[in-house]
Amino acid sequence: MGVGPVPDLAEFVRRARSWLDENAPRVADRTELPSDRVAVFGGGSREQERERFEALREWQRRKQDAGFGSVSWPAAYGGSGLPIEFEDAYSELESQYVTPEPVEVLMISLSIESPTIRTVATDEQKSRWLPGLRRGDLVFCQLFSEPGAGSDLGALSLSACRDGDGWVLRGQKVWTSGAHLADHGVIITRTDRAASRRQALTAFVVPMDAPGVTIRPIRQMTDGTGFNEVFFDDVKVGDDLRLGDVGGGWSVAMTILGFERTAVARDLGAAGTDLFDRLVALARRCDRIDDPTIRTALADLYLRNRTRSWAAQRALRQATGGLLGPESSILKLSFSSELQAAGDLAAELLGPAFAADNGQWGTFAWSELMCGVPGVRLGGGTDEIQKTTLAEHVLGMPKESR
Amino acid sequence: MTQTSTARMTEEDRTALAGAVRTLVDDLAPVDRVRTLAESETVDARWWRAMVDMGLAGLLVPEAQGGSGGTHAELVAVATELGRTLADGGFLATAALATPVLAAAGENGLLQQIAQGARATVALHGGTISGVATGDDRMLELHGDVDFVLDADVADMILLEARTDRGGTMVAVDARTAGLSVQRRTTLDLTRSQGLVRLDGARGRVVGRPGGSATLLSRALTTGAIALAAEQVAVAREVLRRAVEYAGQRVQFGRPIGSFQAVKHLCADMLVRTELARAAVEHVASLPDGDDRLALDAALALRSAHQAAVHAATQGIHVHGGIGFTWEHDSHLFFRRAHADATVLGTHAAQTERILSALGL
Repeated sequence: MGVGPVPDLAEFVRRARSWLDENAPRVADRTELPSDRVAVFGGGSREQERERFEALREWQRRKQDAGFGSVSWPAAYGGSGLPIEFEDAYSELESQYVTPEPVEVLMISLSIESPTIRTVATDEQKSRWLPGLRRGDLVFCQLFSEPGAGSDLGALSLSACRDGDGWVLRGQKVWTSGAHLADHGVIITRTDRAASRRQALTAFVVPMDAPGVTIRPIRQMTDGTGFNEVFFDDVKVGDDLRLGDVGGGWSVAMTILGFERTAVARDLGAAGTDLFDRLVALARRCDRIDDPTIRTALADLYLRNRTRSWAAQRALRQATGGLLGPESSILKLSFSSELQAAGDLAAELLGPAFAADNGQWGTFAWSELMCGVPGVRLGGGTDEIQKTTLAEHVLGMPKESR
Repeated sequence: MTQTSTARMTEEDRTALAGAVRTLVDDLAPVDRVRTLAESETVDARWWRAMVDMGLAGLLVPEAQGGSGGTHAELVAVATELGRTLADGGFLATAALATPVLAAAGENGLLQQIAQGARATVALHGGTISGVATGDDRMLELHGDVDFVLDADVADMILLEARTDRGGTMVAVDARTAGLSVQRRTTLDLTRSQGLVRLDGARGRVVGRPGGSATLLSRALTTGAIALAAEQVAVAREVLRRAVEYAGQRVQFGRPIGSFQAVKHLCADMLVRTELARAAVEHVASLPDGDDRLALDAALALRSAHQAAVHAATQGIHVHGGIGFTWEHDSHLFFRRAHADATVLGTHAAQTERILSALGL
């Protein structure tokens, strides 16, 4: 595909539906009770996580081979070369089927790292990585934060020094999602101690199994271990693994940020009312559906959910060149407060069963969500960084003295 | 000025309509003019005439009845421009409350009167009007009073619900009819009047089906919610614009106060709420007239816009500091409008129930 006339959308949807019918049960036909897990940054062992990862990766392979895994990507990278509406139509359709649970590092690899590679890599790098990335055979994680560079990305200190034809990486990254599952990582390094942050940084793609790379899990407050610290002790990388120009790392990071915003908005725009629906069911089970406090909170949660979704769809409609700008910070801010509101409502409904597991389905599971919310307020730019971004880059307010 | 025709308007036409209304507002109803009129409790006949001539008064009146045949998208476009300077002068009550009631009831004659410049309003907060049958089965003799009627003192036509032996019935009463009196209320919002309507044997004409007032009122609630939500978003955006502008100019501790993170985050919070509400209003504006999600989504947009406007108007004063607390400053006009708007279509609890019942809860 990719050459010749664009096929009819209705015909595409019909084909997609028939493929999905053969490959996944419909949500409505699901016989077993859906999982009561409502976690963000949730728990579970590394083994369970790897099982989920492999299941989702296998699903991506099947989709890709059937022509639904990279609908809007060029054929050269294993895509179907169709307009973005076709991809949206497929996603909408797929949401009606039971498919493997999302795994963050695969979402990052497919929605953030692979479009970044397509934008900033050389032709040789693109043909080396993209076909594998799109099929899920190759998974990239994202190595940004450091112990000394959380909100202040420009302060990062992991160094890359010239070493003959290549480079040597030395330092530490932290809060890397799925580093233990990924094949490679996109890493931002410091290549110049003196230059300003705009010229001091350089990006590379580093194999996660390279000698000198050590990955250690971080046990989060949810009891989950999706994040890692990653140590680089004199890790040698060839110059063919450099992404963009020497000194061009800031611009690569900003490209990644643009795709991250867009991926988040697509997620948030398409997300349904799952938490709300679960809480309505919970309110009925607890016999509190007529309680005015609960009714007010339910209406408030539904309002948050719908306005956030409409705002995400609006941001995507108005995105210039398909990428979202700083105004999309409102989505992340509203999402974290929506999760907080959902957690608060669950706690109010459950009372003591929120704090101690009585073994009943769909009760204590809510405490895991509550324990994940502080992380949502921090990850991908803290709430405060988002607000400063809105104030300075959307409202044009004077810069802080830094 | 040419009459607006909104049938099958494109996005481009709508932008042009908004631009024309903006020019009209800046010319005839900027905030300082709105303030002068409000302080003197004067009605601006010239402003109303201009809105009639431009086809705004009859915005939602079908073209067959001499109106502009507009949709919700045009209603949002116009209410947004008026909200920016708190100009109203009868638009909300006539175009967004009374017109949908009359259109749903098929009252073509009354719709024509609106297109020609009659001001109308709808009593929304109930009351105890009883309708007694007369010799004419389309006419009722009315007794009782109804309070908090928007624009009651300037309306030519008042639509209200009368209790009859056939159930709640919508009635149109000519404001000049014998046995009707209006007492203007002192209002929180200085820019939009409210009044107590007393009926002592006044005669009113039945609108729609006897016993059919609930359906008609629900039309006013939905369309009114869309217009009010658009207006509230415009209020929030204008207040935010003013706060950001002031924060960039006002210097304390040797720096513009807008460079302080505390002030920035206050403004960012205003932006978040405003943009969420704006997305909701744009979503509702895009829904076709008969969409079965319209009542629910309009109620959501209204709730979201109330939150944005009240929050922005409150924090906008805070950003301005002492000057924002003075009578001379415009901040309180927006603050008053934001709070008063939140009561026009019923309490928070009533709106919550509207949302939940539309969800089947």
